[in-house]
Amino acid sequence: MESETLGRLIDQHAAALELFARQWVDQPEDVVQEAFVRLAGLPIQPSNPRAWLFRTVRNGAINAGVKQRRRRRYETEVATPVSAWFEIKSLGQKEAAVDAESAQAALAALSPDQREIIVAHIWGGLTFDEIAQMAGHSASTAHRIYQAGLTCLRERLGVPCRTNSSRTIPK
Amino acid sequence: MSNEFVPHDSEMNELETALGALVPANSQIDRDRVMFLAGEASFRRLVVQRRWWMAIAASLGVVALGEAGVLAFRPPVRIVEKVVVRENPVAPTPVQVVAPRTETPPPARVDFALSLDRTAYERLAGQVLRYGLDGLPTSPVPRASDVDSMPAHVSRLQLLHDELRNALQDGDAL
Repeated sequence: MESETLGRLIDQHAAALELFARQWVDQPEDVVQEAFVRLAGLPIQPSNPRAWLFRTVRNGAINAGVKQRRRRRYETEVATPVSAWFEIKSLGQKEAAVDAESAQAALAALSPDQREIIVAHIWGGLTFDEIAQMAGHSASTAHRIYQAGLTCLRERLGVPCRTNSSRTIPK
Repeated sequence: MSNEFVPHDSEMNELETALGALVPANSQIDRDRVMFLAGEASFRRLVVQRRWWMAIAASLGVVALGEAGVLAFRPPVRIVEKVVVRENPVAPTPVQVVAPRTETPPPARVDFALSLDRTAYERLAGQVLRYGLDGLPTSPVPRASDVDSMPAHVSRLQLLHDELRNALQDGDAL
């Protein structure tokens, strides 16, 4: 892979990939970096590098999350500061319609399936077909989960929600 | 962001747009380090491929050197002449199948004609029985000196013996 192509992919997708991987692991930088290195070392480049990156980061983050939880079981729990998922707008910048901290809290309260699909679709830019291939669902199922997640987000951000999820974030 | 499905209601679209306006936190990865590691991984892959081809070429070279050594140090071909005696293949002896002996009673009457060929005497006797005295071969005329010099019973025996011997030697047709 050409270095220019790799640099462009890093600039375009690194932040979204870290946000995506943050659902499973606290330190997503290593997972994302490893995914880019693996992409550069492939003998044949994938037809859709963005979808390949999201799928690789997903698998790597799930594995890293399992190791992280196993390690925490034997270590003293240390209160680590939770890093922000979104950019906090500074004074002078245009204020977003949704508060970043509220959005982060609302997203964190979603089920893993809903959060994964919402992040991949809104911030990762993946289509529902690509999400379906990545997560092992059908495209219609991915869309249904996405709608249910949006409904829950709307409730948590101030609008009533029709569905309720019992699953929580893996920590 | 492409959405191939029918969009939801307006509130959902507004929420989607509002969420999309949020910018993910800046990436914490070191871009230069990723580029360096990517280049290193690519170079490592090239080195592995190159070593693979070098290993193949080296093994083929070793094989070629071995073949050349075998050809160079091969002993000269000696032509050895020797007489080879070939024996005719012996026909396999037929295996005699011995039939199990069964206790059969002896025949009550033996066909006399079947026993004609057993001995010369029997053959002659059979000839006489079948054709009478005309079936006997002509007896040679004894010389007078021979007849006179031997007793009567000896001369008759001698004549009969000679007659029988001639009959056997000539193989007269029956």
